[in-house]
Amino acid sequence: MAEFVIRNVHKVFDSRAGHVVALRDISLGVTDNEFVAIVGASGCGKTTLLNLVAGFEQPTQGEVLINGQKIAGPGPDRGVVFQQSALFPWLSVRENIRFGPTLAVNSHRLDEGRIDGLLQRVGLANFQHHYPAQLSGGMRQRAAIASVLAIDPEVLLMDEPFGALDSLTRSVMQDFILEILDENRKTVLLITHDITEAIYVADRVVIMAGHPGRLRELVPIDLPRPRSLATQSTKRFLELRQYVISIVREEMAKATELEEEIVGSSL
Amino acid sequence: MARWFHKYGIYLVFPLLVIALWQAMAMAGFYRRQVFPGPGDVIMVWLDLMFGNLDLAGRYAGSWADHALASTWRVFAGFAWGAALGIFLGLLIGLSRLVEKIIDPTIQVLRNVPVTAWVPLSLVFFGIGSKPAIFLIGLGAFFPAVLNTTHGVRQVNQTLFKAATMMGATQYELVKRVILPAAMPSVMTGVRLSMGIAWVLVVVAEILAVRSGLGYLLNDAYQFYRNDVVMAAMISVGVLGYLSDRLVVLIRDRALEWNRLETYNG
Repeated sequence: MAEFVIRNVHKVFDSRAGHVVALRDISLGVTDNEFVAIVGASGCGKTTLLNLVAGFEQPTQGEVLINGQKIAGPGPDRGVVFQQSALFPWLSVRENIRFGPTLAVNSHRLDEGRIDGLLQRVGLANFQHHYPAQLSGGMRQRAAIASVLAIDPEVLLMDEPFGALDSLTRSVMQDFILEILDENRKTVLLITHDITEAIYVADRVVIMAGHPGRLRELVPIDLPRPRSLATQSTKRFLELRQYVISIVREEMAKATELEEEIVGSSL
Repeated sequence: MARWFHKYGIYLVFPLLVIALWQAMAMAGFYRRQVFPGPGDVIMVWLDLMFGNLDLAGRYAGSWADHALASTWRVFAGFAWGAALGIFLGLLIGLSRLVEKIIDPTIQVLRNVPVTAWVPLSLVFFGIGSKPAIFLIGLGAFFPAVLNTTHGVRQVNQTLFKAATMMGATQYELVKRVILPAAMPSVMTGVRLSMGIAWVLVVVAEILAVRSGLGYLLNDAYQFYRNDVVMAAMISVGVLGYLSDRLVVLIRDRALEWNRLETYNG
């Protein structure tokens, strides 16, 4: 059981380069077992938003709550899958999956039988003694997902998890993640720039606009589950895709105009 | 035959070429044989230094093992304390900005003082013998170890750090299970440089401060115009230094197989 709420969040970064408003007045509630995907142009603050929920960053204003508790920092209740698979290069696949459960806070979860099960589930049983460098990109990301599932987080946060994979592997990985969640429901926040991916996997797609980062539109995805590749060619899917793309493009056009204005005024 | 050559013979080509060039220069007769002996003479006197049965090395005959052992012992003793202290302080400096502020400037200043400049003081403090040698060698081994360890700790991948924190790692677990293993390749590079510098310094120290070891043998033979013994001692230092380096590399490759897989042409 896990739900989280982002309430009136502002995030400002102060650096030598200046004062950047990364997020402006964001409010979003994600209910238990809901799958929310966030799309938007690069630089719109998607990753900052995920980092707030993960606890890697703190909001400048507003609050982020998980099950009513304020998020103070990262923790094993919120598993993060990173774009560059965060596998320890000095550990074998199996040792990587065991990493989380062998930490003191999770030690009650260590169960070699479960590790075997996870290795089977992600199709890496025959590669359990390989090092990450010996795996393909897709295998590495499956190992990374298994290592996060090993700590059995209530919330799964994924930051462009398939962004570095080729399109074929990516579409296989999307089905894989749907299957995994079908077996063991979790509350999920997925950051992606791939609109097809967002609609295919999510219950709700959140469109963000940039400069400063804010929520532009929430689109409920009323496609039936279980979904499969065939879902992607249904009329409803294509309508939703068309709709989301049009909004994202509109926002990108506005952003470009804004930049031109700024450049123009400085001339 | 061709396969044997590619596997082993290829290593011999260049050394044999160097020896042939040396032989040719010796035979050309620019210098007297006593001043510039050829490889054949040096090998023979080396054998006599080792086994003492050829009557070529004079009073040095049969003394090689004692000298080699003395030098090797000093190298490893100095290397051990210098590298160990360097790794320890490097970890502290890398992990803590506070420790860095307190001790790093001092290390950076002392690093610029050549180890040979410490010879007078080390003789005053430790007298003649192994102690000043082990002190100087350790001092020389310390700097590469501390610098490379600090660097290794500082360049740990941000994503790995975040991943471990997210899974609930404590500060202690982060150090032990993320920072230390990630720093190991850099630490081993430091250790390898430390070992190399230790063999340089053992010769310097033995010339100046001790009455045994290959450096002492080299210097003593020089005083008595025995350049064949000098060259045999030089080659001995080179070979022992090479074997020590191979030992470090062997340990590194065993311990860090993952790093070899991660790097290009590892």
